[in-house]
Amino acid sequence: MTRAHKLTLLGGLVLVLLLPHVAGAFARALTVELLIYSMFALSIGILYGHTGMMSFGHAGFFGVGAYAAALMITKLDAGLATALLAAVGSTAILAILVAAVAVQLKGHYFALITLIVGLVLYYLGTGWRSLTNAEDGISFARPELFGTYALGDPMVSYYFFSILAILVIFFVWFLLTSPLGRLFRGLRENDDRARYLGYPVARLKMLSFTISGMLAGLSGGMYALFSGYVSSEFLSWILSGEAVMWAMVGGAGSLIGPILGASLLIWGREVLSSYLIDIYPILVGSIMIVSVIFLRGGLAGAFQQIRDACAARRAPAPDAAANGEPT
Amino acid sequence: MILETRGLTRTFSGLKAVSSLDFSVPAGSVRAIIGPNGAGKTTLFNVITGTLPSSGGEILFEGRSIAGKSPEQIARLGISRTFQLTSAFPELTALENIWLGVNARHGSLSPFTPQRKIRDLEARAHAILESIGLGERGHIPAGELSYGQQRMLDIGTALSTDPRLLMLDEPTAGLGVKETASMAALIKRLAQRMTIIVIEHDIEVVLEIADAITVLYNGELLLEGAPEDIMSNETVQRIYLGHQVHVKGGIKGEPHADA
Amino acid sequence: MGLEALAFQILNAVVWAWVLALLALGLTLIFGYLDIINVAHGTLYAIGAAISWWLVQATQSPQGGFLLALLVAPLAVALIGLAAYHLTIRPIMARPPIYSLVTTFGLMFILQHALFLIIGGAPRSAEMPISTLIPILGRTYPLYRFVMAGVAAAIILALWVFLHRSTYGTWIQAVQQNRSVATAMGIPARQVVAVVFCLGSALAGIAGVLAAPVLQVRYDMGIDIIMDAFIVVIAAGFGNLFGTVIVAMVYQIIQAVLAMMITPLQAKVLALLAVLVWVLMRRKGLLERERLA
Repeated sequence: MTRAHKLTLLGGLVLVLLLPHVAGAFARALTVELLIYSMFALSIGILYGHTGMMSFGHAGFFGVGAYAAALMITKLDAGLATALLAAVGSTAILAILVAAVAVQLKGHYFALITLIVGLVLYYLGTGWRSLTNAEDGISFARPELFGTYALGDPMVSYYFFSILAILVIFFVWFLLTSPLGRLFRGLRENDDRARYLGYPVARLKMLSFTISGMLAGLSGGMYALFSGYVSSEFLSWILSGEAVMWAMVGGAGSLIGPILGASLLIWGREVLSSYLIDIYPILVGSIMIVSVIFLRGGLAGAFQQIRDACAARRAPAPDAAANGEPT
Repeated sequence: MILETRGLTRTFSGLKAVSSLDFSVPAGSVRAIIGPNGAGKTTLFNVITGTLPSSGGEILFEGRSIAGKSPEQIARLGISRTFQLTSAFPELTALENIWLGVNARHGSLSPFTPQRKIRDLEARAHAILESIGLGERGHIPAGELSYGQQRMLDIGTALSTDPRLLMLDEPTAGLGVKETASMAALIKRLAQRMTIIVIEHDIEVVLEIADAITVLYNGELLLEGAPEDIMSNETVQRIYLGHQVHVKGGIKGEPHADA
Repeated sequence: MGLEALAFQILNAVVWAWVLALLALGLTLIFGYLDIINVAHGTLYAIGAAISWWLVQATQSPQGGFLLALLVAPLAVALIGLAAYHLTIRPIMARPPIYSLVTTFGLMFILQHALFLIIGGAPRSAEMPISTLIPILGRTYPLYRFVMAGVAAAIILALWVFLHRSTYGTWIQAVQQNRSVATAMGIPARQVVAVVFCLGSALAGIAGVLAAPVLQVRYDMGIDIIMDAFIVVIAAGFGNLFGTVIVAMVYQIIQAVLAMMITPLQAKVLALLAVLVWVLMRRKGLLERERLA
């Protein structure tokens, strides 16, 4: 862990702690949402932006994590920590199962399998009413934090979830800037060549997929616990598409990209006029198409290019953080 | 013998790309493999490195059978190769390209690797980069290097895993005169530390670096021997010019072989 | 549940499989020949079904509307496909296929929501053009279902003839195999690519028209069926005409048989898993490790 790492973590925590002093309840709630969805977008960032594998069904992990946490509380009267562990554990198992099969397949077949798995999970969510209560969803009382603080209290909720999210995002950043992150990017660039260097490529891809799935699952669990509610809509392919959109618009290959994309687009959704809300899915689709065709590397990539152009007289930056083209 | 094949065969839908090949390379030597296009040279490489399964026969590396192993396993055993087409990690820097190989051999996957170890690995990568003449270019993304530099980087990446056997597939293809000379000089330097097998079309390079030459023709071993003998051999000259050749009791023709 | 019920389930499965196969063929045509996967393919099918329903409403005639739809829907859907192709696929044709997945995924959002805005969220019923019931095995069975399967089968056959026995079909194969050589030979490759995309889309539209009287027309009916279509196409191999029909048949029959014992949802999931497992064990060309250096 370098000094830069430690400073950034501190900075993030400070920002989070200061916010309530300058912003009201709505902004606080929005911040937590943005942070949690940023985690979800980052899960796409890890899988696609870094390892080069696209998933169209990632809401499946989000939703499974959410349901795991919720059901732990409603059926087993579990505490907060157990609920979160369930979210992470269940999606880890799911991810390993899916990855074991899917990573053997070539690029677009892999993506199709994730689409299918996502759809299957959605159908299970809407079909298995007795367990999930489908679209009507399950509302539940949130357990207490450390047995004393009520998560129903907005300030408690704000501090807990935002700090947790910052810690998780920091850990993801730490991972992505570590040798493992570099390795994942190598797999994105040329997984075949990595094989000839002796890397167990299939297993590494499974690792990436599992980390990604667990992150999505944790974000889902956190969202359920934050809102006290879960429904089959958490599994919907529209959410899967939104996650892809957030990551791609922001720039899937960097750390800040998915966070930027999620924050910008979710905030945008909040301020959309009521007319535009009616056509929200059309906007999502259009943004996805436009960002793929025109915004190579997303916003983060564009900033990087501007930075590189300005620094043209000095030695170029050593790390290209833009969206990579998977081979 | 660091590498031996016995009766190695690889068939593609009835076509014998490699046919009952008995081929061996002593440790520490440089072996050149030549032959017209379609002779099976790259296929031989592919079978040895696990890209393709063999259709029969044995492959022994340092006395142990490696037939049927995956490319990852074979790479970890100490064999490294380059390809006819450059194959790098284009958006990673040259240093990172090499680093990946170094990390495969000496590093670990743990994100909690201590900084000291990370710096040690990068130092090793940098040393290799220097040895192939790209020391100044470590920070440039591999995709932005010139073609000749990319070919060099290929070699560097292959070296990064500390192989005992290095297999190069047409390393000088597409290189200019100066770059070819640098490449040949590099191969000679490397030959002091490891065994090298090279597929080459450039005769001058072959004569300069090879201890022995193996000639492949239509998937079979045509001739083997010292460079001067092979080069002055009439049969070899004729197959390169596309004439028919009597080999082991049958007539084989190669109407469009490249000279 | 008796043997009779099973027989009807299987009958339904076989009859429906032809429509599924038609839809899947549209998909496989586009991928097999153009290397593009159109995730929005199911939505084109939904649009075809919606057009059929609407025409029946407008003409107040189940037969007239249906026949009109058989003509109009493929044309309309082909046009939509052409527009989609130019806007979302041509710009990224040079890039790795994963990008076409993302853009057509985005296209699915757009088309499905547009359909929602037009026909609303409530399911619609389209009357069958043929209301005759024929007696089979002691029960009555809608004749239309046979007609539906027959029309689908006829179109599939016509497709095969077109691809393998006509000049244009040969052009299509030439462009797929070697685009630059085909262009050098004077084949208008860009036009061929667009035509194939439109053709594949039109097939989805026709499948929608055929399916409309049998199912409820909903703006999201495309999602239900696209999962099945992808499974069929992956299992049969992109580009394999008759294999697609057979896999569709087997897949539907497995579901039908399983649905006798467990809920339809569970049956679908199991059938899906069964096909996936089979795919991984047998299908060549899908696996990573067959890539050559």
